[in-house]
Order: sequence, then C-alpha cells, then structure tokens
Amino acid sequence: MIGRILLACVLALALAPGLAHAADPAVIDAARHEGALAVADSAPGENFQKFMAAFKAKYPFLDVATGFYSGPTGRVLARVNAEIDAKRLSFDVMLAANTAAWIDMTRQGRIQLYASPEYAAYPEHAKMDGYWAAAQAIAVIPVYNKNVLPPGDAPKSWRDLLQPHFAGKRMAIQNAAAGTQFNWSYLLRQALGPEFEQKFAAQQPVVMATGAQMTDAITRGEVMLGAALDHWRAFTPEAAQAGLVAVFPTEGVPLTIVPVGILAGAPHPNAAKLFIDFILSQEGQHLLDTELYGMYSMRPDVAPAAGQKPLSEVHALLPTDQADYLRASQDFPRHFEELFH
Amino acid sequence: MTTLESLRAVRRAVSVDALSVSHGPIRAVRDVTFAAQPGEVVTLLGPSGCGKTTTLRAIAGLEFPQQGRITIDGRTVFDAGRGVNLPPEQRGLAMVFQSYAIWPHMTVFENVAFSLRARRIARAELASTVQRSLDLVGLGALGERPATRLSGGQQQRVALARSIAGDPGVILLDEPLSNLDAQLRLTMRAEFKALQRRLGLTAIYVTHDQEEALVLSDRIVVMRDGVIEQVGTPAELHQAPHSRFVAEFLGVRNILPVVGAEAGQATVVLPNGTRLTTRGPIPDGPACVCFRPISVRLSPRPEPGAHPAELVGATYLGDLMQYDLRAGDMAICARGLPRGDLTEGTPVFWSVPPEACFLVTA
Amino acid sequence: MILPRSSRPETVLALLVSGIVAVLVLPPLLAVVFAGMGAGFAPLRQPQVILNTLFFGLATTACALLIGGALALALLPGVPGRGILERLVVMPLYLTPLLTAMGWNWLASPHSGLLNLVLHAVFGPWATINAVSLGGVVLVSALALAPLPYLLISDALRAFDPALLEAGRVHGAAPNLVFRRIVLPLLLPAGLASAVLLCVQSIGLFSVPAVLGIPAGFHVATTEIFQLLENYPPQIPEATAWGVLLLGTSALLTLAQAALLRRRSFVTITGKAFRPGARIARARLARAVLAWIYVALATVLPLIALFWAASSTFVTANPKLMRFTLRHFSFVLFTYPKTWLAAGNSVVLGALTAIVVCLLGLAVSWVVLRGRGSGRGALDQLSMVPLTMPAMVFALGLLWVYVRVPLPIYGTVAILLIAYATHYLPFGVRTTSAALRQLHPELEEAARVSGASWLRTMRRITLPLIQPTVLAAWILLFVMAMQEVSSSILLYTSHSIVLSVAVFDLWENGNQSDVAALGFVQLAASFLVVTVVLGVRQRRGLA
Repeated sequence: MIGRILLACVLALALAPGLAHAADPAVIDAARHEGALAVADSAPGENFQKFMAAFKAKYPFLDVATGFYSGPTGRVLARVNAEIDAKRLSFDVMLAANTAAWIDMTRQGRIQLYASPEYAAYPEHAKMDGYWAAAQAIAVIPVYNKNVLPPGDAPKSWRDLLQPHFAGKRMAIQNAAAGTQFNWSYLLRQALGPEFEQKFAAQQPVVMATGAQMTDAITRGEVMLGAALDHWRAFTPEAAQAGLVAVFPTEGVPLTIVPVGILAGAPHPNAAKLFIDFILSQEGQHLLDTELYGMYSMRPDVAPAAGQKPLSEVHALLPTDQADYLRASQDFPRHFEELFH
Repeated sequence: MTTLESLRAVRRAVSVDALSVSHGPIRAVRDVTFAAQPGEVVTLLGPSGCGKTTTLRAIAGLEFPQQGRITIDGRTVFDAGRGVNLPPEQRGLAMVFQSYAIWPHMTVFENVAFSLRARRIARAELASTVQRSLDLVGLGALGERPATRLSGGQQQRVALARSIAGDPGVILLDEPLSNLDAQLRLTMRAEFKALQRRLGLTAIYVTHDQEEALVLSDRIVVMRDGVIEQVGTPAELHQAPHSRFVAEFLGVRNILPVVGAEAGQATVVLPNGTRLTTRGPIPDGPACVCFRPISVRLSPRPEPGAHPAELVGATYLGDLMQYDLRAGDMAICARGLPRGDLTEGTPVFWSVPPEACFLVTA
Repeated sequence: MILPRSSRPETVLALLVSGIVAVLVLPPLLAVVFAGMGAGFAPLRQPQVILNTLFFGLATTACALLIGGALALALLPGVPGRGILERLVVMPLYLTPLLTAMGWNWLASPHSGLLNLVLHAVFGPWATINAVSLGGVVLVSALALAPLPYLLISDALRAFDPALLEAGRVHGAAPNLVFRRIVLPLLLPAGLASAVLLCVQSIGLFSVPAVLGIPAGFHVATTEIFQLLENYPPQIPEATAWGVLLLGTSALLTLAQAALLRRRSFVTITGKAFRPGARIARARLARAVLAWIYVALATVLPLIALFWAASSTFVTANPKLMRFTLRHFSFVLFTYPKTWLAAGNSVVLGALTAIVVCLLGLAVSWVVLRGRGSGRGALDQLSMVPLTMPAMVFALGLLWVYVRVPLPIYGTVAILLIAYATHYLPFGVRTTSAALRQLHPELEEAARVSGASWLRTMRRITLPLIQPTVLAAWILLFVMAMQEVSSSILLYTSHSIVLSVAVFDLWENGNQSDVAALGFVQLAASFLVVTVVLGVRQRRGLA
C-alpha cells in the first residue's frame, strides 16, 4: 500500500517534468543576504540582458547589473581564469561556448558542484552532472544565400559541398579560435572520416574571423555559402529577408553546446544556485533559447523556435569521449593551420 | 618731470674669484678673477669660445660652476667651497640677452612689468615705474604694442627697459648690439652709455667687438680660451697690450717678429735687417714689435730713418686711405689721409716714431 | 657641480616624474619579457607570419610616409581650400582604422563590393578592386595611418624659415634641386621620426589585418596574438613571445632612429622677428586635387559605405533587395545597453588620458630638455619604451601586474587610464618636447633673472608660449584615446566599457549594420568634443 503511494508519488514527479522546481527557501534567504549575482556570459548581443531582467523579476533583491560581464567566449574564459589564478574571482556563474574548456576547468576543480534538480531533464552528453549543463545548443550547419546560389546547386548533404561549383573561395568557414569550428571539424571527422575534411580543405574555403562576419559575407553575396555557421544566425528576421537558407545535412549536424555552471569559490553561491535553477528550468530555457536567441535547448520538453527543425528530427552529433575531445581541442590550432593555413 | 632720483639704483660691486666652469669635458672658464666697482662698466672681451658668455651667465646663476666664488655687493651668491648657490631670481641682477628674449605673448608694458610683478611691487607704483623705464629708453608711447610687432632696435630697447625697471644694482649684457645694423649699433651704444651714467648702474658687458669695448668700458677684461689675458682701462689696453693676442684683438695690424735687440737703446732688429727704435721695454723671450697703421709715416722719397718698401695696394676707406706695403716677406699696413703722391707699384719709404712702437711677447 | 639649494621644485619634479614613468612603464614591460622568454619562442614555428608582419610593417610605413609627406607638402600655404583640407586630412584619426577597414571591406570585396559593382557596370567584370588582399591591407592601413606623418612633417615645415628655400633659388638652383638638397635633408628628422612611429604602429595594428587580412589568409603577429588569446586555454606564453618579437623589432627601429638623428638644433621661437610663412604657388591645383583624392579614399568613401550599411536593413548590394531603415541607429541609440555607458566612459577616459599625458609628457620633456642631471637621457628613453610595445601586449602585462597587486585598480576605469596614459606617453613627450625645443631657453632665463621663481616662470612664460602646441597635442591624444581598442578589450569590465570595445564586440558577434551605426556614434562623440574644445579655445582667444 505504502509502496503504491510511493510509486504514485514518484511517477507523479517523474511525469511532471514541465514544472520548475520550487527553490529551497533557505537558499533564497541566503541569496537575499548575498544581495548580488555576477554572471560572465558569452552569449552574443543584448538578448541576454532581457534574460537577466526576467531573472531579476523573479528575485528582485538581487543586483545583477553590477557584476555582469559579457564578451566573446575566448575573452570570458580568459578573464575568469585570470581572476581564479589571482585568487580574486569576482564572478559566480559562467556561460561559455567552449565545451573543452568546461571539461578542463571541471577537472581542475574550478567548477562548483551543485546538484540542481533541473539536471535531471538533460541528456547525458549535454551535461557533466552536478557541474554544468548545456544552457544553449547550436547546430553548426551550412547556410547559403538563395539570391546568389542557383537553386539547383543547393546542397543537401555535407558531401555535396565537395562539388566543383563550391571550389575557389566560394565557401566560408570560421577560424581556429572558434569553438564552433572545432566542433564542426571534430564531429564531422567522427561521422564522415578524415578524408572529408581534407577534400573540403582542397575546396579552398575562405576563413572568416567570426560567425557574424560569415553571416555578413553570405548576406552580401561575397561568398556563396557558409559551411560552418551557427544555425540561429540563419533564422533571424534579417536573415529571412536577405534570403538565407539553412541546410540540415543528411549525414548529421554537429552540435555546439553552451554550458552554464557555478564557479568554485563564487562570492555569491546561493544566488548562483537560484540562477542555475532558473536558467536550466523549462521556463528559463524556453525564454532563453526559443524566444530570445532562436537556439536549441537540450531539454526535450522545450520546443525550438518557429521554422527550426526540432532536435529529435535532426541527426545531432555530439562528442562521446570527453578525454579524446579535450585532447583534440588542444591540438586543433595546429591541425587547422595544417589544413587551411 | 622724471624723477631720476627714484630710479637711481643702489650702486653695487661685483667680484668674481677663481671661477671655473666646465661643460662636460670642456673647461670653458678657468680660474677667472676680476671685479667691478660700483658704477663701473667692465667689459669681457674676446673671440667666440673664450668663455666670456659663460662667465657672465655664471654671474647670473644660469651656469653651474665647479669652483670659485661670486659676490654681489659683499653678498655671496656663489661659493663652491661652502656650497652656496643662489638661484637667478634671488641674485638681484638684471640681464639683457643676445636674442633680447622679449616674450612674444605679452605687450611691451607687460614685458617690462614682469620683473616688477615678480618682486611684487604694488600696482599703482608698477604702472608709473614701467612708464618711466620706457621713457628712459625712448619707447614711452609703445606700452600697449604687442611684442611681436617690434623691430630689432625696439626689441633691444624693451630688453633694456625691462632690465632697468626693477632698480637692479648690476646689469649684465650679453652682446646686446651684435644683431643690429651698423648705424643702429652706434646709436644704441651711445644711448646705453648715457643711460648707464645717468642711473649709475654697474654693468658687466660681453662683446667680441673691440671698438665697442673701448668706447663703453671703464675697464676691459680680455679673455682667451677660458683664461684672462689682460685687464686694464681702454687706454692701457690700447696703448700697451701685453701679448700678441691682445694686440691683435685690439686692432693692432702690424705685428712683426723680432730677431734681435739692443737692450740699451730699446732697438730691435726685424728679420729683413730693418732696425726699429721702440719705446721699450724689451720683454724676455720671443717678442714682436707692434705699431698701429695710423702711426706709419710714408714718403715717396728716401728720408733719414725711413725704410724702403714697395707700395702694393691703396684702398679707400672713407675718411682714410689704407696703404699696404711689402718689404721682402714683411707686410706693413699704413693708414693716413688720402694723398696724391703715392702710386701703387712704386717704391715708398716708411718710418714709425719710437713712441708708437711697442713690444709684446710673441 | 653644485645645484642651487632653491632648485628644489626642479629636483622634486625630476624625481617625481622619473618615479611615475618607471612605475607605469617597467612592471608590464618586465612581465611581458619574462613571460615571453619562457615559451620556447613560438614565433619561430611560423616564419610566414613573421615575414608577413615585417613586410606589412615596411610596406605600410613606406606608403603612409609617402602619402603623409606628399600631403604635408601639398598643403603648404598657397593651395586653394587649405583651411578645410587641413581639417579633412586628419579625419581618418577620428574614423578609426577599424571602421575604415570595415568601410573598405564593403566597398571593395571582390564579389559584392559597392565600388566593384559600379566598376563592373561601367567597365566590365575585369575592373575589380580587391581590398581583401595583402595589397588591400597595406593600402587601407596606409590610408588610416597617413595623418600621423602628415602632422609630424607639416609641423616641421611650419617651422621652416622660407629664407632657406629662397637662398637656394637665388643661387640659381632649380626648384627640384632646392627640394632635394635643402628641403628633404631638413625634413629628415621629422621624416625619420614618422617612419619609426609608423613602423611600430603598423606592426602593432590589429583591426585592419583582422578585417581584411584574415579572410585573405594573410596573418600578422597581432592577429596571431589575438587568436592565441582567444583560444582556450589562452596561450599566453606564446602570445607574449610574439609580443617580445614585436617589442624587439620596435626597439631596434627606435635605436636606429636615435643613432641617425644625433643632436640637432631646432630653435626657432627666439623672441626675435616673426616672419609669416611664404606662399608657394607652384602646382596649386594639382596639390589640391591630390589632397581631395586622399580625403575621398580615406574618409569620404568609407563613410559612405558605413552610412549605407547602417541604414540598410541588411547589407546587400543587390538593388532588388536593398531596403532602408533607421532601425539600426535606433537600436544603437535607444536599445543597445552599452552605447551611452561606453560613450560616456570613452569621452571621460579620452579627456583624462589627454590631460594626464600632456602634463606628464610636459614634465618629462622639461626635465630632459631643461633640467640638469645625469639621469635625463635614461628618463627620455624610458618614456619612449611604450612605443616599442604593441598595445595589446602591453595590456597583457598590465593585466598580470594589476590582478596581483593589492590595489583596487583591477576592473575599474583607473586601469584603463593607466593603460592609455602609458601607451600614449611617448606621443605626449614627443609633442611637448618639440614645443619646448622650439622655445628659446633665453626666454625662460630672462624670466628667472628678472626675479621669477621656477614655478612662476613655468606659469607665466613657458606654459603660455607652448600652449598652442600642447592644445593641439591634447586634441590628438583625445582622438587617439577614443579609438584605442587593443588594450581596452583585455582590461574592460561591464562598467568601464568604452566605445571602441563596444564597436569591436558588435563586429565580432552582432549585426554588421548595427556595428556601422555604432561606429557613427563613436565618430560623432570624438568630433563633438573636439569641436567644443576648439570653440572654447577660439572664444578665449587662445589660438
């Protein structure tokens, strides 16, 4: 009898995944005493401010503006690690689009363990349980400009990119510092073997400094196609107007996840916990990914933005061996230099 | 109207003892000693690089000597031994620079008033003092003119007015006339002399122009390579220079080496055998006999006591004619009123009265 | 040698200044050198990049010197429209190299550049200008940097005594000979100083190689450093090894310049007669045309491109797709949270930097030129050291030092001020020392002998007389501080963000039309402040 009640309770809990778990009042109280939260974030643009505004609406007693720092991933990581090295960490939470870095930092003990109840909703390969989970997921896909590329030439698979009409600086990729580019290279090597990347390099793609630059180049028609672009850039209103078309290749799509986690030694640990709970919750994920950024959420209960294929229909490629992934990421600059110099 | 009594400065004396100044490895001034009595004009005379300007600047406090002592009216402003070195603004001097150093961003009035303001003279008195100074140099009406619109001569006067405005006891002048044209130079020379006398200023004047020195000075200090060659009144230096250098510098054109002498009669023998009787005395060691061109008497015909030579040039100098003579290797320069009986290329006979011949060390 | 007992203000100044400069310059320098040495000298593994950097430096220097020098000569008195041209040729400083490069990217990318589309329509597909190339990087950098040699050389020309030229002509020398034998040798100091400055600036230039070089496959040391720092983990030792390479190159150049120039007399303001400059009437029209061509290439065309990008819905040269909107301006002005904060920070920082550098530079110049003491040469060299370090690497050194020092500087505007002031100190020293050199020492000596103390002489004689030059230096420093990006991106926090960083961040991550719009805000901010300052100067009759 008790067992059935228990089972019922467990089932009820398990079957009600959409609810954001209510935060522990003790934590809220402690956070109130802390009074502030410092977030270092690599999500581009001003949309993250809107997300922070929503968080602040929930917990108005927290000052989220003062310690907020946003910049490109590389700089966020550099700043946070510099502070940790100097033992003057000012940040509580970090959002950075470089999974290898997260793996590395966790191994070094720089990430705080916090068993947020929201972790349960995330698949294995999108988190390191208790340390970090993917707040955002970006598909790395080819994007072309339909006003420039003849419709008959539109690619449907990665191997289509090896065709002659894409040769000679008609395609663009990002440079070695972009985490997106590393993921593309690593995961496609896993899926298609190393010959694909070599043949692709023979197509002489243009190396762009950033994804934003690539988007601009595609929009203007400077290149026909961007071979490794953040998928959400193809779904902005401007992209639609400009005629950008996203391709989800049949062989599969490399996924870049943007982990979020608490830093070890955070000055406001309880406020940080509240934030993690919020950003990883269904409500938070829907706001951040679906509404604000047009990125994917790794939570199965969060629908993608309008016009985007759900992740379940996309053959998403993710790293399976963390050690190998980490090692490859450290070797990547040299590898990229060799192939694409 | 102008009460000069109010501007009559306290006369001050300056003394310089054993002053040595080096610029890095170069010893610009070596063990220089001289003094200026109150109301006296002492000129430092010499060629470029002789150390005269450095000495002057050292008195002003603009150079840092290595050794020596400088006192102004008994007050020690510099003493190497005791570590005394007053900065320029505390020495109570005035200085006229070679470039005049008129401040271009001020009016004439402001330029002159500057030293008074620095010494915190009251405003009422300041205006009248400035005006008096300007009047004294003849620029009374130019008070409001911007300094950039002055001619060279006017700038020089402003520099002078600026110097005297503060009642200095001592005024230092660093070749103030060398950048003026000849006519202006003569005028300014006379004006300065008059001003100095009126105000009873003690002045230390630096120049390389011997004529200027002779006209302006009470005493002249001839310098060369950082040391003093001779000190004396203009007359003394003019009549009796001690050394060849001083003689040359003071415009003695005929300086001839002496190969022999007859002590008793103060007669010397020149390389070509000519014998000249001088006024003596004959110095020890190598000597030269000197006489000024104006002392040479010329005659187209032989005369007793006259020596033969050939007239090689006759140049018109305005009031005088200059005759250049050659006797073998010897060149003689003579000056005198123009005369018609001397022709170039003809023999001529020259003589110099003994009292016009003097001897210097070589 | 005995110093006067009451030369205390001078001694205090000398010691204070030396102390400040040493504290500013040495710690980051040493941090970088020691860190860079221990990295197995990474640059040796990429000889192509080293060659690229050297080539880029030399080529840009040569082009910029040519352009700047030609402009300085073209704008000698006598050319029509001189007043407005003099103002327009320095506009690239306000526009910043980043925006100039972006503009040219939109104008002259091979497939979709605005200019190319026009040329193709008129002349055919062969008529393509490709700015995304080695040539493009060099030329655009040269266009952006040309105002620097222009300023230095035209200053030297202004101090010229026209009698020197007249003497040559009177003695029968043809104008060409006068130019070659008289003008050029007298311009040698300014030309050499420009060349060294340009070389150091160009090998340390980041924005143009990033925008136009990376897509062309042309990598230089600064882009390498940037990418090394963007990696995870940031390869700081390798980055600083590149920094040491740049540092060494710049140091060599500076030493070579010093050896070549020796000591020369530049005294021209003597308090004697002032002669207005002669008018040179030769080739007036050609000179004006030359200057206008430069203005068009360096300023007008990029501005047009930027404006077009900022007011397009999205950047496209396809007339069928072009739509115009004020959306981007409105975003930048009203929505983007960083704009006004960054603008305020930039203006305040720029003004403070200019003031600090002018004062410090003046103090250093005074001690070096007028002071007495054996350490003066060392102080001069020390204050020039920041020139030899690219700002990016210097910032790295700063970050290390101040993260560890228990002063509440890290993360504030103060650290940016320190970075800027140190980086631009050499500019300040050079311009104020040029001003001081032109001032005849007798003007100050006359004041001292007239009874004024050292301080009074400074206040009433020295400062007023050099004030026009110092004000011009202030303006230049302000404008350059406004565009400083390389050290800012390492040192800023959300509070101390400046416009250049905001623009760069948007360029990296955001909508490109927004970047163009924000660029206009940056341009407007610089321009406005300078106009106000000049207006104030005019009204107070200080010109």
